[in-house]
Amino acid sequence: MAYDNIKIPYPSFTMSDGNFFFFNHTNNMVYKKNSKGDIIFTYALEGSLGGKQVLSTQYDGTHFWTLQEGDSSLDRVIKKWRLESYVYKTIDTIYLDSASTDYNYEIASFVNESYQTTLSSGVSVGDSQVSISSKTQFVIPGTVFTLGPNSDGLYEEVTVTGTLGGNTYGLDFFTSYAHEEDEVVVFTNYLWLFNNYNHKTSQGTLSKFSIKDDAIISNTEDNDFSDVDASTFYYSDNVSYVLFVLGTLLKFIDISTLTITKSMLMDNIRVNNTTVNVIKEIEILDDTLYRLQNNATYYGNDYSFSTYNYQCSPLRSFVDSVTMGTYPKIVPSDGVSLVNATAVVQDQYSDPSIYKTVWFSDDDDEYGYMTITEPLTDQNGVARSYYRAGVSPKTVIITAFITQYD
Amino acid sequence: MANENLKFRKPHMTIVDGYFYMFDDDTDMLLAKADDGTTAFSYPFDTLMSETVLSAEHDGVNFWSLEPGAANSMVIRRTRLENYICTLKQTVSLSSPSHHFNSEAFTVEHYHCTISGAYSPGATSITINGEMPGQLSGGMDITLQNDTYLETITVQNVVANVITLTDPIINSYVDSDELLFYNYIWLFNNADGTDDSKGALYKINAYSGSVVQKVESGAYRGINACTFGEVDHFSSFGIVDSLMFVKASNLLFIDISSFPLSYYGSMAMDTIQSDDVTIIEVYDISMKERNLYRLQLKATYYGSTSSWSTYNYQPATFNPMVASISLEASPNVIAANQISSSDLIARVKDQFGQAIVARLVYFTEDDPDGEITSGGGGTNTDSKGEAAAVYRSGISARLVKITATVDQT
Repeated sequence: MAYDNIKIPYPSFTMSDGNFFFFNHTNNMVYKKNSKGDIIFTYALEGSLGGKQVLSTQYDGTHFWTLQEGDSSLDRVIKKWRLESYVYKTIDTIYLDSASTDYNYEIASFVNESYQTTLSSGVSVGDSQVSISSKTQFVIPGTVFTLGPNSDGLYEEVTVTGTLGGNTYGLDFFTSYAHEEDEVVVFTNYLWLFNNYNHKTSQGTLSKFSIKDDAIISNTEDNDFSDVDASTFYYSDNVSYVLFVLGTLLKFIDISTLTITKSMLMDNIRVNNTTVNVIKEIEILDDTLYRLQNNATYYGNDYSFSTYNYQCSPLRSFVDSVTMGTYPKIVPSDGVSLVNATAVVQDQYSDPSIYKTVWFSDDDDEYGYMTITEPLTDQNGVARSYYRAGVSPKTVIITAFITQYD
Repeated sequence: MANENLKFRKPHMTIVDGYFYMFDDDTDMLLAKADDGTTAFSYPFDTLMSETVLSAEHDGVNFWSLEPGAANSMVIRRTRLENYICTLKQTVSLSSPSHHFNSEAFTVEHYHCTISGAYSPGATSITINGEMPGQLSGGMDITLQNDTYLETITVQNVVANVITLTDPIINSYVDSDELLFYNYIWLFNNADGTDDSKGALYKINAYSGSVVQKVESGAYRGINACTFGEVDHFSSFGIVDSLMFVKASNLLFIDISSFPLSYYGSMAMDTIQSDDVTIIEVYDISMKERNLYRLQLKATYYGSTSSWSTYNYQPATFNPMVASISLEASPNVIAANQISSSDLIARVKDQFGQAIVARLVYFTEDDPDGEITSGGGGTNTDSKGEAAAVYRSGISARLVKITATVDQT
């Protein structure tokens, strides 16, 4: 069975509406593919990628963001693109130039900390304030809201000067178009850059780049931040995360504390249990992680592809492992003795899977049996049962089985 | 199977009455070919050619050709078939110190109307049916034609849909006979003024050759194929006089009456090689009713790309057809317990990226123990072009292939 799917020729992609997009630097086009790899539409770029391959792509709900090498291997260019009238136009360009700043930029992956919300009330032409329905905690003076598209398909950027109370914000200029209540608003204040340098020193660093200031405003050093290929932004339960791939782990950095608060195990390891299938890009859609790889392991076999294809991992808690413990291990076959049987169930985060049914069974004679056959796991992911010994001396296999319904 | 047809030796074409025309500078002839490549007729030029034509157009009466001129200049010629000779009627030299002209695609804005009432020789005023479709003013030409006569007369002035002529007509015409005119040349230039790093769309007076309007955009750079025509296949826009040009593998539509000029549609074309990445270059396009003809040196047929030594046409239709279907499963990782389920959404779109409504979609899966529990027997797409179904898992952990199928009916 062939396991390739989207067959993307370059190690970068992003997703929207269940479709897969990639930028082709050889012909300045954006390709839209379905999950089978069929090209379902193409879009021309108004502008050029300059013949340089896109290293990483992000989508904020309205814009595509691309990362490319600049004039040298220590320079990068980040472009923000928007689809207007069937053509992707460059809305903004950020130059990360090693010659004119005190940084080297050896970056293969970046994260766009973007938020989506909606207008909580309509906007008229010439208004100097807008109100949004959520994500107000992330709005700062200087935040640029992208409003639209409106009913005429038009977008506009407005800059916040400050709050006017509640969820209403003053603008530095008048709106050019009318916008209806519930229209989409997106905004990005910061980019997060996985750089192999801190300033000019070779050192894995996560840099916070302020779009308003057009400058890096903080750096967090960690060797794990070197040579990062795949990262993305994730917002869940009012916590904003930068996610990045480290080997077979997906690390969750809480950007309010800059600490790794979660780690998720992925199945990007080959059958030799040693070699990692490199992940070149990640995207999240509907609480599913899509990993872009040109190698994958399926059911005990390794596969290599000539193109890049996606593999999935659920982000929702999913039963990942169950381990059995018994005590004592040896009991007399007297039909009376008991063995404590404990099953510990964990998800892919190594967190306990709670309130899951575990089915205990044994292969003993007709006299040996499990006293509780379908216990639930507790807060620690532990389900308990007891094996009552049979009457024939033998090795007894006790099995715990678990599945997931959601 | 050989998929060649026209076997043109030059990278341009235009279509008139179902025949494909090419300016052959090797033989100084205008060749008319049938769609299988058979030469139907040839017309010698009264003025010999000096350059290979890059792009050709026909406005209903005149042939137009684009040729390279001296450095930073282009030449556009207007010719007409007269007594079996292709006669040069006009040469527009595009040369200016303010502009670098470097183009491979142009078209002519032209209109076909019908006249209202009958007119006898000597008439100096003509009324057309309906509103004036495009700008027509004093100094421009109209051509009146029917099955018997054809004459071209200069306009003195236009008031609403009444055209006053500088000279009286010399033939008789009846109600609904054709009235044709052209007014502007649209040129996709690989420079914006003298900036060779940019692209621009130039609107040029077809009579004087003067630049009327220039719109800078990178999207207008590197264009090889364009044409002009009346387009009616975007239901939300009605009939639009459209400038169409090929950008990568898309045909982009510009409403020339819009200000600023804006695209109002895009059509995905099958100009991608079998590697799913490389674009097949389109050298010229021509439109005939709801068909578009693309001139190419390569084409992909059913997963295989053919290359030719000559230029041949590939057709595309403006009739909305099922062009793509995409399928999304949510969640797309579930337990193999014959209980867990995944919601499926198939999205069906036409070649313009618009939703295909009320079309049956069938869902199938290859899991011997799993099943499509809802929607498998066929579900109609809704107003967003979406059809839904539900898959219930089997009992073996495996990659399950779910297929959504839709037919063009």
